[in-house]
Amino acid sequence: MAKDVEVRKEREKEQVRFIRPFCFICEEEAGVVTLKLEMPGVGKDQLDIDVDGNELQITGKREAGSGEGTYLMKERPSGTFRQVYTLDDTIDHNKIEANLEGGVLTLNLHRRESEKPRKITIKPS
Amino acid sequence: MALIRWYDRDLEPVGTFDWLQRQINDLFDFPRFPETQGLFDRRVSPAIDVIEHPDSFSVECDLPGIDQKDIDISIASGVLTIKGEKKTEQKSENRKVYKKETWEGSFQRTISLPSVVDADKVEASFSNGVLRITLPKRDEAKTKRIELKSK
Repeated sequence: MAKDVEVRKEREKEQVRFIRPFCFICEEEAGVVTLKLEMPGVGKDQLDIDVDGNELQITGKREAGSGEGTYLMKERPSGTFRQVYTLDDTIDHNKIEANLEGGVLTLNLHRRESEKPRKITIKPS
Repeated sequence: MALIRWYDRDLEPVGTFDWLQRQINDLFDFPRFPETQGLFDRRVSPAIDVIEHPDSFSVECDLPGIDQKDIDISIASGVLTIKGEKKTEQKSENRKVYKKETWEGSFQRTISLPSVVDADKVEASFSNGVLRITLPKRDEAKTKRIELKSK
């Protein structure tokens, strides 16, 4: 039994569980897609946002607890927040704004100018 | 004097359940279902951890996107209550929502505290969407170290 515990401990040391943050994606005003990700416990320094080709990768490390003490109740998932999105061609990859506040990451993804709806007026003849 | 059974920290019930929970959650991390969460991951109300230390208890609660002024913590007759409201603003009427996994509205969680908690010395802090409450134990309940006298 004691050996099982040792083996399990070793395995858990190597494994990092990725937690997928809960998201809220909406288009508030035409042309700007707002992506909100709930990442409680992630500070500005522990957050990485990368655009690689057409992939948007978001990784957020939680502040590690002291690891001491006995858990009487454990509902909060432990691990690293990670989510990868594929950006389609309508999104301008160079125009992404990010803001982290109170554990919520807000990303504003702007659509390309060419994709925005245009009004075509008829010239008076 | 009450005798307390010896136990291994790694074999305690909560630890074992935690491990089982993680195993089941990991099944859902299988790449075939990229959009699923762990089965036991809490999403309808804030998740809470309760940790016991030798001279205190600490309660940690995930409250992302909630204003500090909207959180209300109280202790009454040995019950800790965390109440609050999560508000989200909507800028325009005709917004298009593509995906919504988050919740909003009011919430309440209560925890019965052991009698050893000193309710007058409770402290709380809030940063990065995580609420941390420290509940110190009464002096008589703290773990005391007994020094060995050498003759």
